[in-house]
Amino acid sequence: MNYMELLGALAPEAIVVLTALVALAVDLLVLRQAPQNARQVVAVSITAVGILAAIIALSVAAPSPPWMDGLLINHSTTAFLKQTLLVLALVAGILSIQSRFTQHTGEYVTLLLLSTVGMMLLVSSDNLLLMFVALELTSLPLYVLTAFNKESPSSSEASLKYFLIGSLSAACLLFGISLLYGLSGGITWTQLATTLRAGSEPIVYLALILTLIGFAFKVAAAPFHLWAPDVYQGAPTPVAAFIASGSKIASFYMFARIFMAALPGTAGSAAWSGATPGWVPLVAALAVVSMILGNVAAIAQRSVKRLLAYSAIGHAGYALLAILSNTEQGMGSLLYYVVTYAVTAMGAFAVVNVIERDVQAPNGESLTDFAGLSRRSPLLSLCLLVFVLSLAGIPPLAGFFGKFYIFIATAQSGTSQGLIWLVMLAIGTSAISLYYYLQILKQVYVVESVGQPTPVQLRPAESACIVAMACTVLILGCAPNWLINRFSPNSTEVRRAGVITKPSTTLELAAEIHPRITAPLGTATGLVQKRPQFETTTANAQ
Amino acid sequence: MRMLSDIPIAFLMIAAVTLVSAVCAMSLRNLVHCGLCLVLTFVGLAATYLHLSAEFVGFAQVLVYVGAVAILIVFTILLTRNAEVTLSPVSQSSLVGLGIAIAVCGSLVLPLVTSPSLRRLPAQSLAPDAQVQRIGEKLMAQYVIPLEALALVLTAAMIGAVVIAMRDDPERNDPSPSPQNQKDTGSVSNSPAGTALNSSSSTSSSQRP
Amino acid sequence: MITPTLQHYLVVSGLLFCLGLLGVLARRNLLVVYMSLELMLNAANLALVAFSHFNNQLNGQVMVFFIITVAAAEVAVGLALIVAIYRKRQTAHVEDLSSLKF
Repeated sequence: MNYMELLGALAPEAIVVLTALVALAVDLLVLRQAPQNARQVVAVSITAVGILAAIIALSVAAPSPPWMDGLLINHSTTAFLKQTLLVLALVAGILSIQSRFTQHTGEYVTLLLLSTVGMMLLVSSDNLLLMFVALELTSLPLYVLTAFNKESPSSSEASLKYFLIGSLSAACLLFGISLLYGLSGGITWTQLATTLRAGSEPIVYLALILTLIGFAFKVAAAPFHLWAPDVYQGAPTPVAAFIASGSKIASFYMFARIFMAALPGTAGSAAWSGATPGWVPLVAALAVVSMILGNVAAIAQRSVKRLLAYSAIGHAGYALLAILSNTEQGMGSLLYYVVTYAVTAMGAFAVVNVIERDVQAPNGESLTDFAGLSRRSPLLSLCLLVFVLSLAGIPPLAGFFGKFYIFIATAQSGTSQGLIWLVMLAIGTSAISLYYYLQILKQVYVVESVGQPTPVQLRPAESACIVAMACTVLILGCAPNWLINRFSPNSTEVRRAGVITKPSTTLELAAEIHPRITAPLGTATGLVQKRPQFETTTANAQ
Repeated sequence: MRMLSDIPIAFLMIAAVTLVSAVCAMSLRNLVHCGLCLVLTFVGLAATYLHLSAEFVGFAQVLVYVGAVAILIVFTILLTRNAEVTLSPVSQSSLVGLGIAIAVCGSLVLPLVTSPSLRRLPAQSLAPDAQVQRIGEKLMAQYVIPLEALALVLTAAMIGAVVIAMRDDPERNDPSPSPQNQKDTGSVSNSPAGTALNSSSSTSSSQRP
Repeated sequence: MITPTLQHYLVVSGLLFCLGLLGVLARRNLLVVYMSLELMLNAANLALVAFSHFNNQLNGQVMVFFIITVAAAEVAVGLALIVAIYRKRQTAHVEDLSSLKF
């Protein structure tokens, strides 16, 4: 092994680390006495330059050579995911310009970038140890960033909850990892995949359960979700946006990789009749609880950030369906889903960030602060409409195809459509979720704002980000092939590890026929969209 | 499983000390006692590592856990001492947690006891100095990427701990700090008493329009 | 001389993990909760060292080295958070962390 070759393979990460250090040094050494706003602009500009360089480095990076097996995986899918993560980090940086939550601008940007490096390494990791260290590198800066708002009483408290629960999950994951290592004698995915088999000993299941619990905490799947609502609400909004988007992509990809690529021999089955033990039924249980609890609890929320948190739990449930399908097709649909979800969630949080700055309430925003937004800022409310409808899964937005691909992948996996009951449940909970998403839109478009509607102050960079993300959601919805084709052919590591995979033709087929499916569903949603009007009339009658 | 009496006395003693001190660390009422019991647990674990001929890890355990982590914890106990040092024991509401934990314990230890492949004896292990050398080689070759990532974790933790524990001076939050305020703070903070710092920040904030 | 088997070490490690979990779930003081988390991490370390010894590999020991370092980093952040909370609230109890409802 040659260190220069290794540096070449890690060049994008190295660029991001350098950027972080440069931003910190410039902020602390040069701009110490400068006004806060200038410091923020300089720090985010440095970040933007570094991130652009890293994205370019990723686009020319070669796939990892064979000698790197077990150290690091680089291929086109990981490169794309890393680019997405970098863009999300940049947006989180831009959103925090002019925000008042911290005076430590250099540290803020540095920690944001270090967390991004952690996510990039997580996406590339090919063994248990790098996975664990990368997870810690992802989470530790996020704990700190959550506590950055020293004015707010809930910020440090949310951070402490995040930290304690995160450490608990790390401890469970570690115990699981230690058992996996001990039972297989190896730490790379290939070594694990060749040695671990289901049904040999009870201790294998113990290792699976502990690993699963660790990841369930990370992706906020119920019943291990307790940190998510508090952190989303208490953290500074740009940080919450990054937690909801970036760390979700990285954790879900790792979640799927470790179970699909490293533990295929212990899968089991979650078919309605004839379930066999393994990790698939456990993931199915998590998915069921997450979908039901997330979507039902979201109805009762008054804060939009909390609502988004519970909706994120519901979305985690759908993404878990893709993991338990345990096929290459499932992996492709999972990646499409988490990437589009991350962009949408980032956009929704960006809108919340604007509103929160506008109302300046001590306890953060609430649903009623969105009242009459359509008159106060038509652009912002249009973007919010796109994000919320995409989260709800309305065609032709990206969220619809995300769910659609996952449902197809889940229904087709397993023997004789045994998983169809999960798909039915998922469709049912999606219908429930429409209710609370439309609650937001009702506030925005139907309810009048209290007093004279004043226009919302938008900054150019911020509104450019929001509009760009709304356009991305629209474009990915109208042309899903572009993204799904990136993911479908090269989940090679799954194949290499010995999973029996099906050809991914069904996915491409689904992408081709989507206009035909869109049409009838579009009329159905037309019916649903009448509901807010009905509710307002009853409210008026009362 | 072999009988308890077959197990050598050294292992039994170390394990007993470790487990008993762990029980004390999580159940005693006095926080300082909890911290000291935790140190004892760490020492017991280090002894177990030595018993398992893992010298490098054993000494790392003593250096990091006993030397640094435990000291940090005791410092924090003293820093938050006013809260209360003597705690109420396990509260009523935590009985649910107790039930969950006992159920988890059962399901955790049972597979460990019933799995047959775990009943095996150690293979021949390396000499200690060769061991340390091979660990170093592994760190610089097979595990060099996690090692670099670990450096980043430490950097992030250092920056983070400083930012979190630092007291922010309120003037800096002002969008355009007036020069008079800064000058004022500077002159007062020259005074030796630590309390003057606090009063200066409060006076300057009250002076602000 | 008869030596203890892998199972004995793993049972100790499992018990340690349970004790830590019990402390996390049942105790209300943040510092005690934190110490219990450390017990859980140490339980994982013990299992790794035992496996490493009985598999005659060094990988487990190397992992323990990493875990110890990560745990030290976590301690720094966690204790800073506890101190920050204490400064703001004059409390170190889980129950008092209720401005955000669960």
